[in-house]
Amino acid sequence: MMYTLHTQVGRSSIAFQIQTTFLNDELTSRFRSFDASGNLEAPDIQVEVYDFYGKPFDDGPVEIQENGDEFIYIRADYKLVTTPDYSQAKMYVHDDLALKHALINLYSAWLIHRRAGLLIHSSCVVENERAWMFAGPSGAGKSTVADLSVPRPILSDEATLLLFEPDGSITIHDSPFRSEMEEACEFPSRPLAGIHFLIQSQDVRRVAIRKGDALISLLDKVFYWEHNKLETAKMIALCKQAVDGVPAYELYFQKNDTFWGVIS
Amino acid sequence: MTLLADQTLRRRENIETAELDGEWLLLNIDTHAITKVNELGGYIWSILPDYPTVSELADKVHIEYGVEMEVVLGDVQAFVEMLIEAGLLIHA
Repeated sequence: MMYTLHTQVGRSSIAFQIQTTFLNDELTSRFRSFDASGNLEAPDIQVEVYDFYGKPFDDGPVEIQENGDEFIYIRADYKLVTTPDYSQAKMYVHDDLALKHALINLYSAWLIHRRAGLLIHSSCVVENERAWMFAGPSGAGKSTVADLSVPRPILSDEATLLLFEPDGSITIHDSPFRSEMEEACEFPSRPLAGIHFLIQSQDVRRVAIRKGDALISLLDKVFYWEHNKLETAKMIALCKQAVDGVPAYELYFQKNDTFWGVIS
Repeated sequence: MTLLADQTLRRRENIETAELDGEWLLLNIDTHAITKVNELGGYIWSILPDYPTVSELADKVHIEYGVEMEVVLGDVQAFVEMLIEAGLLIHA
């Protein structure tokens, strides 16, 4: 392999072995590099990344196979082969989008397997030192919310990295999985204050919702590819833990920044 | 088909439960269906393995909640039929 990159995502360390300069450039722009020479512990996740796989993403699904002691995820533009504990993986990718999605796939599965946290399809913005999450279906305005919230610090614009801390609290960590606002956040993490589910509307208002409804809304926002009932049960339990820990709201909003008036 | 009061019932496998704010969600991992029930419904679901017939469930609810037996029996019967229809319970 041509390149090596040691990085930290949330509380976990990842070591990449990278085949090509193109992929190395992509990864080094997305992840902060750490000098791992003084670190005697093995990384949490080891990934070999190979180029020249498949064809561009065609909106097709991710197919999952269990092959002895390997899980294999296949999409038109990537193939991910991982050990069942997701600590060692090989990914074969077509382009930068494939690389990002294969990484989201692997890291999300690793978080759930370890009951450490969730990757959630949402944006997340810091206001008064606390993190506010904005989730919704495609096109609901997740990245618009992040855009309109500048100059507030942005922890994520596409995939929010939610971790359960050892003391039981929930923090949102700076997400390396971004769609447009690629700049790293000035804060490595902030405590989660609440979850908003976005609804486009003519008026701007916020309505508290019951935790059961919040759980139902959150379940299909998690980056998760179902393949194993135990992992699915863990994912559900983690979502429950998240909605148990913080309030949730429906946020009716127009595409302008007045919505912060009803939040803070 | 009317459910007989002493017919043995069993919870279907792969149903995850989540209790939040006095509501219970029963999540079927196989079908992805989610059924929301109230606190009493959640209580009945939770004791079903130990009291697997309508009459045993009704007895228990009658004792725990102090509601008249006739009312309880009808309500438990209706609730259990709903759970069967939702694919959450099966006849053992």
